[in-house]
Parts: sequence; structure tokens; C-alpha cells
Amino acid sequence: MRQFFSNKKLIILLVSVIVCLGLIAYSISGNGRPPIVQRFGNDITAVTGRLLSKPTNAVIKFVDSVENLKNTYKENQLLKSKIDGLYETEVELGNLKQDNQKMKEQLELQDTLSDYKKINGTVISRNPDNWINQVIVDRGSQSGITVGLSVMADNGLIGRVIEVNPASSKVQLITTSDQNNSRVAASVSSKEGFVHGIINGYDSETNRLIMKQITTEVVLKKGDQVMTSGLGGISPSSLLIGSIDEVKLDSHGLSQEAYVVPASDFDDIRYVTFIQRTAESGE
Amino acid sequence: MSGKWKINVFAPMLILFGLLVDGLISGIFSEYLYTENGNVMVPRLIILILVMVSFYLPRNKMIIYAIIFGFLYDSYYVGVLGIYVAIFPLIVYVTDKLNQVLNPNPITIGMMVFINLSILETMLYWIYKILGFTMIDMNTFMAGRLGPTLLLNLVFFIVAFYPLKKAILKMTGN
Repeated sequence: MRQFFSNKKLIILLVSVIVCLGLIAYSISGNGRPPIVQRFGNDITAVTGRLLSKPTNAVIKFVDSVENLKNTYKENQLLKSKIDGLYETEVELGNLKQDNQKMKEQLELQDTLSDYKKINGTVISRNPDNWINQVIVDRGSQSGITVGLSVMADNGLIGRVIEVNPASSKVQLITTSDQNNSRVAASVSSKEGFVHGIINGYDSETNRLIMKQITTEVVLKKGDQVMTSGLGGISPSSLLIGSIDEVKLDSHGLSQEAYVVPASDFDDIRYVTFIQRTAESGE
Repeated sequence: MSGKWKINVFAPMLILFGLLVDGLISGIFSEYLYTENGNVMVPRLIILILVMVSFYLPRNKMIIYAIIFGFLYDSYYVGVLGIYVAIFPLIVYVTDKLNQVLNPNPITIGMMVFINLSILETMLYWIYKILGFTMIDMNTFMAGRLGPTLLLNLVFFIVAFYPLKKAILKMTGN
């Protein structure tokens, strides 16, 4: 052992282990605004990354559009049949919106939990080692992104912002098994009104989210839609998360657990939308 | 003399390229890399490049590069500093030690990449397990992560070895 670890090497090893542990401890307790050196490095890398991801995305878009071209005829037939109903719904929706606006004015409501602003972004890259599910997006604090914003892709919630740099940000997906960051206050709209619970956990074998702490007094059906409730303080309400697949009692038998099929595909995220709610969180 | 200057500029660029392409591949092909039943294949082009470049640069310089790019990897992808910063220099060190006893030919270089990858993935697994980011057990890790990752990187190695070697040789001026 003596000749393998000469004294100098041993000291170098010890010091580097201590430094690394210190770095880990320091960065885990961080608040999502890294020090200036790190922000600078992240942004430089993100800009270089964009040079690579822009052309790749263009190629993929082209391939996708060629593929879409093949089913154009069928889709056109289907859409034609749907479009008749659409006009009616549009008129109805416009009326409802106006009614809603007037009623809000009468009640002197400023912001409700369901009001939000949207900021669009493109995914530059994804964390290759999938231990912490993160994507890096090309929008940062210069575009108004702050830590904790909800992020949607396609049509469902995918995660939240955990780190912001001036021109890029990191989004942690809700599939991450990090107990502190991946909880979402959710609700199900069933016949008996809104049922609240918490999305906490992900079953990676069946690709389903787990919604916990649902009261046993309600009966939830397969196919009921799960959305954010806005009661968590950060995300606005009524962002779609997914639909219920299976409901059972939890291991203590005190509350129900629902398995939720997510509405967005976590394995195919190219464009994302940041959701900034207009109501104050009151924190 | 001019060849030395070239490789000194070229090596960091090559490593940076590997780092970015890893993220790009995992972003674009994630539906194929992270499969339904929990199997995960991690693209690790950067390890291949680190191992290959460390044949042509002195060890101490490579360790400095490894620390810099480990830091960048942590900061850019993971957000937790101190993980890859520790492992990348270790990989360079192990490659250097192996290089002293092995005769570098394609098969032994491939072996070195595999040894380094196994060290990397296992250490990562331990670190993330201690930090509480994962709860899978050793068997699931071996079958669901280490195996597929090695398989994917074997493909990378076969595809990228000769082009990389040619590029590096050109830059060193041999």
C-alpha cells in the first residue's frame, strides 16, 4: 500500500475528495441562481450548443414534414368533418369569454388562479445521464424566466424551472425521483366536484405518474382528467397533466392513489412553453 | 512545433464537441435511448474522446482539461457541482496507468473505454444513490443502465474510432 500511495498522492486525493464533497454540498443547497462564473460558463456553452441544435432541429423538422405529407389526404378528410362543429364552438367560446370578463369586472376580480402568461422556448440539450431528468432551454432571465415556473410541452405539464442563467435555463421534469422538487398540487374534475391530491412520484416501468393523498370518499373513474390545482402557490390552475389510468388504496389504506398517464411525451421534448401565473403567490 | 500548437487548440474543441453532442443526442433520440421499461442508454462520446486524446497530450495537461470540462459538464447539465469534476480526471489517470502496461491498438483502446465507462457509471450510481436522486438497487442498475450504456457506446466506438484517430493524427502532424 505504501508504494502505491506515496505521501504526496494521498494528500492530493484527500484534498480533492474534500473539495468535491464541499462543492456538492454547496451546489445542492443553492437557490437556482448560480454564481456569476457558472452562469457565464453555462451561457457560453448554451450558445455553442445552439449552433449545433439549430441545424439538427431544422433537419428533423424537414423529415417530420415529409412524413406528414404522406398522411395529408386522410387527415384532410378527418379535419373537414370536424370543422363544421368547430365554428359553433368558436362562437360559443367567444360568448362565454365575454360573459366571464364581464362577471369578473362586476366582482372586481383582478387575477384568478387560471390567468397566465406564456413564454416559448426551444430545447437545446438534455442531461445525458438520466439520473436527474433535466432539459436545457434557450430562454433565461433576460426573457423573464424565474425559478419555479411551470413548463408545458405539447399539451401537458412536464416540469418546472430549477435554475436560471441570463440566456438559458434548466427544467427539471416531474419524472425525476427527487422528493423535494417534483411535487405538483393537482386536482381531478369528477362528477362530485374537484378532488385534490399531489403528484409525487413516477413509475418508470409503466411510464405513469403517481397522484397521492386523494380522499377515500370519492370514486374516480379511469379516464378522468388530472390538472394542476394552482394551490401549490407557483403554478396556475387548470394546466393539463394527464388522465387517470388506475386507482387503488395506498399502502396504509388511509387514502387513495391514482396512476396517471401523462398528457405529454417526456421522451420527445423539443419545444416548451413557460407558464407564468399572473396572480401573486403570496409567499 | 506548429503541430503541437494545433493539437493544443484542437483537443479542447474536440472535448467540447463531445460534451455538446452527448446532450444533443440524448435530446433528440430520447424516445429510443430511454425506453419504456426503465432501460437507459447514456451517450458518452466525451469519454471516448477523453481516452483517445489522452494518448497524444501529456498527462498533467489532460488532467487540467478533464477538470475544466468536468466542471462544465456539472454546471451545464447536472447543476450539482463536484460529480464529473471528480470522475473525469480519474478517467484520464486510469487511462494513463493502463497506457503504461498496454500496447495501444484498437482493441485495447476499446477495452480502456469500456473500463472507464464502467468506473464512471458505477461511481455515478453510488453518488446519486447517496444524494437520494435514485432508489434503484444494484441489479436493476447493472441490467437496466450499465449494460445498455456499454452497448450503445460500443456502437459509438466502432463508428467514431477511425475518423477520430485520423483527425487527431492530422492535428498532431504525424
